[in-house]
Amino acid sequence: MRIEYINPIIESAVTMLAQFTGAAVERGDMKLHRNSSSSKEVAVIIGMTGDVDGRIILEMDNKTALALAGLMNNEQFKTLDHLALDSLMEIANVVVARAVSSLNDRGFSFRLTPPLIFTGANLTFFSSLSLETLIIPLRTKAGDCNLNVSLQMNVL
Amino acid sequence: MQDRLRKQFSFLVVDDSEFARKTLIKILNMIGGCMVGEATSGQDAVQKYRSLKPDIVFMDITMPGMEGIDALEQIIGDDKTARVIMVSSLSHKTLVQDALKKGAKHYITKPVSNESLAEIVRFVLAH
Repeated sequence: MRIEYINPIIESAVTMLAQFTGAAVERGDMKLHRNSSSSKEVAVIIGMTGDVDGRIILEMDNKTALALAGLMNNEQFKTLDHLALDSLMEIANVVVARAVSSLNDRGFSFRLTPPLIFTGANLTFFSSLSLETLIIPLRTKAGDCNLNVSLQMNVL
Repeated sequence: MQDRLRKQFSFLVVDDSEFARKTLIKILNMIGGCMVGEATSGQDAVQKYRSLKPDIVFMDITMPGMEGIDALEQIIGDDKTARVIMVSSLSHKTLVQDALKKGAKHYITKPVSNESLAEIVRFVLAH
């Protein structure tokens, strides 16, 4: 994966999560996994096409998801209802869209798919694309999240 | 407290995200707006614009079915005086230029701040 398109994604995630939670976000050490997978309870997935193929996943546990939706809406959620799930999809969408806009202004041509959200224990994702996944841990006021970036350049 | 615009204005909010609509409506109400409708797709927006004739439409771009840019074109095609402000997470230059060329009065990048929204509404109502 090329650092020139990874960095804007990480910067956008740190900035937007801080803005929506009202507190600084701490970035942990990145890890590279051979397969694209997710192991937390809530995962928002956004696909990317154009100059790249792949996806970005914002994943967190249920407690963090409830807290994050709560901070975004200034109210407490006991369950992940429609508004809470929609809020999590929106924050993931804002994170990725801002990064994509910045990259497109630099001459790339990236497009996004609408976000999808999955909930459940031990979520695991497989894909026919054999993509490496860069996992970026993010410590937020709501709790810990991972940003999983799995992208490959399309070479014509 | 936010400064309220002297004159009330009616608005239609178009976004498939409940969170985005809720957030925008809250800010617009604080700055003197009066919501007349909500729409969740471009098609829905075109129909609601025809029946409600709001002073301003706040239009998302990426939505299922008819997207915001296509809805903008239809609304402007029906009513050249329509005030449509695009509100999107996407903000690359070509997209913004395309929206403005097709008749949008302004372009706001999410997340929306109270101050910038009040300023933009004031500007759009004045022109």
